[in-house]
Amino acid sequence: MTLDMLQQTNNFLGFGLGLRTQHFQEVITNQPNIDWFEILSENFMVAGGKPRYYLDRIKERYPIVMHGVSLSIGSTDPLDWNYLKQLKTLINHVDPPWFSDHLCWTSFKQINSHDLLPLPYTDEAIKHLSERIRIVQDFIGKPMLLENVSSYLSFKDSEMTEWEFLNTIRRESGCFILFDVNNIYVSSRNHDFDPMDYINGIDVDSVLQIHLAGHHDFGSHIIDTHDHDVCDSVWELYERTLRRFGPVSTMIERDDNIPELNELISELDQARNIYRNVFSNLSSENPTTKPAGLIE
Amino acid sequence: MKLSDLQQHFFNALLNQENNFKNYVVDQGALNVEQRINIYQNAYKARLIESIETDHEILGYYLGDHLFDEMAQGYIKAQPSNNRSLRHFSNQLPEYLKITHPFKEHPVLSELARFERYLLDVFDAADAERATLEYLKLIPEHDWADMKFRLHPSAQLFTSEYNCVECWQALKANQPPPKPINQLHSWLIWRNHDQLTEFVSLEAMERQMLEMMLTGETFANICNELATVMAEDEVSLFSVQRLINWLDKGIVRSLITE
Repeated sequence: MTLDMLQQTNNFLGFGLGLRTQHFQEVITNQPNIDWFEILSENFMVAGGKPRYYLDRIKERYPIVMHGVSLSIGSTDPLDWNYLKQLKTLINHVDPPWFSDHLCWTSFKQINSHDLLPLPYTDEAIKHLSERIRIVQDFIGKPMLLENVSSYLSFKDSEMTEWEFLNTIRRESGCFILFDVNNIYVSSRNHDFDPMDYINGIDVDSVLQIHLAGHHDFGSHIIDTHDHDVCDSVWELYERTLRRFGPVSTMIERDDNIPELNELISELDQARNIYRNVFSNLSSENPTTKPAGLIE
Repeated sequence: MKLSDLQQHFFNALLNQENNFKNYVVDQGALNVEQRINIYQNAYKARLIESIETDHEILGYYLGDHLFDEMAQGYIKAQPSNNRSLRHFSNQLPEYLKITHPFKEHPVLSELARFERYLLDVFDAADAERATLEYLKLIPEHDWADMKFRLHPSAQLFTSEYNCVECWQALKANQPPPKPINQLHSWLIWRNHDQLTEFVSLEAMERQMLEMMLTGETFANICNELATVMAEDEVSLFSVQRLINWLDKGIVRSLITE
């Protein structure tokens, strides 16, 4: 299989960036070499104005996927149908190939933490999340991806590893995985596990998207800040992730200390180079892995 | 432990309402359990404070760091976020400032916060087509009396009892704000053709006109009302001039003649 053939594989969007307000105008004016954008769903769940104005123009030129932060799929609160209806309205407008949120909970008794809080890795949580994911997927009618989050504490109640938890939920709910390589690195340092155990513990056909990002390393622990360049350790893990999962749509998230667009494109080129190195060496007969297939 | 109980303990810890949560967290590595919980507690506060700073930048300048911090900490405690979007976290801030010591002793603060909320509402209000002068010209003269108006969804009328907008303008220009003065004043705030937020001071008659437009009164009724406070021969010129001006600014969504 050649590099070109791999890039034409179903679901592979190429190399994208998180769409940020600072870059709206430049994206429209210069149409930079970025294959796709990810938007933060909540930022565009508004009636109108500048965000929607720019979104409509950018989506004419670029594929867009949607990424949410407040579905709170792991919360024991009832699902918020008002939020889901707003999300569906935006999804119908944007028509992304998939939408995503996080393997976490953010709210409890209608109060919002505005943070991605970790879950205990238990059978009860698996059952709870799988059921809710199935309901959300059925309602939205698009493939849903769940992203592994960075975490700073773990629970005595946990009965399995995070990757066993995520993998089981994926199998039982039928969702896909947004594999955040930086989050795996951050959590591996904070909880002292081998990130390769995580990468190798996830089913190869389950990952539809990869996130790369920077963090702040305090030595004793790491905080996931998205305000730095991607570090070397994460680039190394990215290469190993590609080797396991095959060609997966990849993007860089930057949420703070946001640089000029050109700088982010240069960083994205590093991902492209790693991708080329990994897949240009594949034999022409069979890649070791196949990309995930979408729900029809 | 049931998932819901664990989440209750976590949330209580987040809001600094209990110490039991540490009993459910694994003690591991270089950080102790309290430090691990602190990361979440600090992030919770930092995120909410940042949201107030972003949405109420000028109020922050007016208060200075010390008072802003007192306000933010107090508001976070009094008003946990009940909206999924941080965009709405500070919706109750004007009311909080109005009833909470020491801020309530300075009513201009609540008004300043309310003005900034209006600016945010205008920023992401719904989009809509806008009527133009050319469209007005197409309406036959005999239909003008029954003509009604719909304003653009972003158009907001704001009334202040203090000179809060003048304070906002001064601070925005890095100038010291004027002393708070008790003065009734009306403003029109809207999003223009270029998606930029604008505001303009309103005379009492202009405000009257816009309020009547918003409640669906006909052009004839609006003119009759104006005639109670100005000479009849001035009404036509005044009302048509203002209408043309607002059409030009993109404030009028549609002219309804049926």
